[in-house]
Amino acid sequence: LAASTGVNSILVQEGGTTLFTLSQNENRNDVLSSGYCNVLRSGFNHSLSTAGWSLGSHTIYFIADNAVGGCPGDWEVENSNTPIVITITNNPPVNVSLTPNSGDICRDHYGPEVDFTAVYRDTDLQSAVPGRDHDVRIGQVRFGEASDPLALITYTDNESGSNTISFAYGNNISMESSSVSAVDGGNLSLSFTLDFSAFSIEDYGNYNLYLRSTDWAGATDGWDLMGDLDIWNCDQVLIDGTVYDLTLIFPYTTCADLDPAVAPPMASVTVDFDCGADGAFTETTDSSGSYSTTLPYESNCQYALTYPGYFNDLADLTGCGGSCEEGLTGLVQVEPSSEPFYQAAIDFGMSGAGSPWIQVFGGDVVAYSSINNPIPVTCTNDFDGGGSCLPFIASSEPSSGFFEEGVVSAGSAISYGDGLAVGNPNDWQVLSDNLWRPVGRGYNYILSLASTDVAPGDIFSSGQDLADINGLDDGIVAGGETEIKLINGNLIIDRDLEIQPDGAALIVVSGDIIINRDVVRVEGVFIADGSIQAAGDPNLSELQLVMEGTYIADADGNGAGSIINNRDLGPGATGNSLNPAIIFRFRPDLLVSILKDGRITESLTDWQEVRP
Amino acid sequence: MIAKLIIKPKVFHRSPSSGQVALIILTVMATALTLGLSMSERVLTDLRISEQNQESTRAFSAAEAGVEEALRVIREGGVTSDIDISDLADDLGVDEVTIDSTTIGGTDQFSFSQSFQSGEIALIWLRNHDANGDFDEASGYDDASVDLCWENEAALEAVYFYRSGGSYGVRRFTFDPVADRRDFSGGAGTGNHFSPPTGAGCAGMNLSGTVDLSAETPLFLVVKPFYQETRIGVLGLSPLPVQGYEVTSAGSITQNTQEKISRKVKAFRSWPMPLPMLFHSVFTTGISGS
Repeated sequence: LAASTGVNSILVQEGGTTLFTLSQNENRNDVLSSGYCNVLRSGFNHSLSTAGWSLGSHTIYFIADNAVGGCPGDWEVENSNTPIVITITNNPPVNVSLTPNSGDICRDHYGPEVDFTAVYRDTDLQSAVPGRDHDVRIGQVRFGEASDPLALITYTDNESGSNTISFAYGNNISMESSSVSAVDGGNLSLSFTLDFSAFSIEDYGNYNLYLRSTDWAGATDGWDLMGDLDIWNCDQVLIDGTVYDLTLIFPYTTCADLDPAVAPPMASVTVDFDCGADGAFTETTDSSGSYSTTLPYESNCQYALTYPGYFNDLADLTGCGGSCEEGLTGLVQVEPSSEPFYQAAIDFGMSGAGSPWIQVFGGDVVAYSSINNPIPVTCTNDFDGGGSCLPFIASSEPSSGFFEEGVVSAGSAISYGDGLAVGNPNDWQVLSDNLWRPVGRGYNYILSLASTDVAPGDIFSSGQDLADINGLDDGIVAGGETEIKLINGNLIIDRDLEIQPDGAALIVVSGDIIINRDVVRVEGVFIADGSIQAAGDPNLSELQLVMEGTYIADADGNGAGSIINNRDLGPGATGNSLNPAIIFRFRPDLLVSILKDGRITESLTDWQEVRP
Repeated sequence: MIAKLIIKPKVFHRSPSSGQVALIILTVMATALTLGLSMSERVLTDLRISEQNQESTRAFSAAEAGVEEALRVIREGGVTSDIDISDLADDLGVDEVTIDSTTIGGTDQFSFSQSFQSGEIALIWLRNHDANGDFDEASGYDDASVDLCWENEAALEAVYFYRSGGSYGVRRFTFDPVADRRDFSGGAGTGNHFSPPTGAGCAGMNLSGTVDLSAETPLFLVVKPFYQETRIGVLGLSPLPVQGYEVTSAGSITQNTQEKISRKVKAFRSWPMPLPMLFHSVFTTGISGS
């Protein structure tokens, strides 16, 4: 029975029992032709058209017409005059499948064109009505939600052997081809090919896939979710993330610290990505510390972060994988390691490196003017967390025999930046504008003390390099030796100098003492009429300098000369955040050796006239 | 006829008498003579004073020279009795030079004769010096503590140098009698956080603080006052090592076999020590670039 209305069957029943099935397409009230005029005989096939019949039950009355005796015009029921109930039903179509319906179309089906197949079924129909493709009259595919669909493909059977496949809403998507095929057994396959080569980066995203079908009787299987796809253009990846200020928890940072509740986001950080031939991209974080950009897929991009002020360091976020970066500069491969493939989050944690600073272990510090030592806040945090950075200008060092720090005294002010105190553990400090300041106790005075005791070969009439001075040139002063050198000029310390136990070196210069930037350790007693300067390159991160012993600048007391530090350790775990650029460490053994040597000493002398 | 009465003024013309002139001359001459005699006496007095001053100065110079010579001899390991004071007197143009010397310290109490400025260094020896004046670690003060003595309202830092085995170390002690200076809470970088003095004074001074010397071999104490000038002393539990020596020298000139002009100078000299500036890690005008 080819039911144009979608009727599946017509049952001829009696008392609920099926008597026979009408399987011929006949109009109602037509005279059935069975070769036996005007008689319906059981066991014979008869046709009855149900076109226009509504769904539900219909009762057919077979009325015997005895007027003519079984000829045309007469209706007879051979076995019964009981009315026959015919129930007309219609099963709606079913949305079967859509492929592909998961994953990433650009990764799984790499290329600009992707083939899709939607399948519908209508089990009412055994074979198509002539002129129709299928009992499914309309089949639809929708990408995305109804409120803002990405694309809508609609198949419509126009009967008489024609159909239409339309494409709507596609933003930078085109449908290259489409076709339908009806399969015996009830399936209708709708195939179409979409081209994403012009797909806009702004439209990337995850899209749900829906099918909808309607049969000729108007029954509909409405928008069934068939899966989802990450759809992107295969060329660009969305990169977004947040830059956090981890200064206060540096260096004990983990990926979990990249959280606004833990570390404040940082606005106005410039994030640069240099992807070589693929281009360069620059973004600046907004007020919430977020940035967003697109980078070429599978490109290698060098990133660099800059921030005004001292935030020139990045926290150690080792182990965060691709979700965050630990270096001020570094390389990222733009290939997300997990779905969705069109986007990746890269968070950054920044930490303030701070300015270079100094620290003194075990000895007194005297500065007639002021002391400004900008200990960074990161050192404070490190100390609180059990780290080794001591946020003090002066500190004890029990491992070196210093159980108290020295007294830090200055004429006007003592500043220790974001440190905890001037000294550890006692915080001893003296501000006094009347500190004793010896005048005339510089090179010439010491030369006068040494004139008879120091060998002429140890008195130099011009500036010297340490490596050229006999007794110091090998960088070691052995125990039992006391080297005294007087230099009328500048001294360049161009190599490390070690003073072994019971040894000593007393070096007095009339000019400046300059410690080259590659020197990391100097030991001895150094006296300069001018300055003592630790040299450094302002464009490079320097090595920490350890200066053990005593260091006196402006020894002649004329006000010209100071301790000058040009070393900057820069960022990172070995940088200013956790390390002083210069460590001064007191060496009492050197003073005992100089005392025992006796060549450069003086006595306290007090003259008084008394009554005769 | 009317008589014309003409009245002319009467003019008297008088010349000085010779007596008056003589009187004036005599007065002037007397005054001049008085002045002359006075000036003469003044000149003579000045000459005498000048001569006395010169001789006093020579005597003082001789005393100073005697001290210097004594200090030189002692520094070079000699004794003052080796100095030929007669030759010295002749060389200096005085009649007599006397020189005496004595060690200072060696008792349980010692105080420096001079005061120390804020930031200046005083060194108190806790080891002995040998006969040549050389530092001798082998013997010295071995008691557990000493009391430092000072005065006024100065604060004090004491750096205790010690030997422990084969190495040397320091311990530090700080005292300040002014509570506001110790604990001033006006913000970061204030208050010296020194300890209050532990005693009510010693060696004639009103402040004292105990320095613990236990468990190590004491070498010396470097003492530094702050804020105010002060004298410094020390009180031990037993006799302290000799701290230095004192030399006294007098120069004398006898005038007219009756009047003797003498000047006397006393000098204390401590045992030699490293330059005071060296007892710091950093000693400078300022620290920059950090």
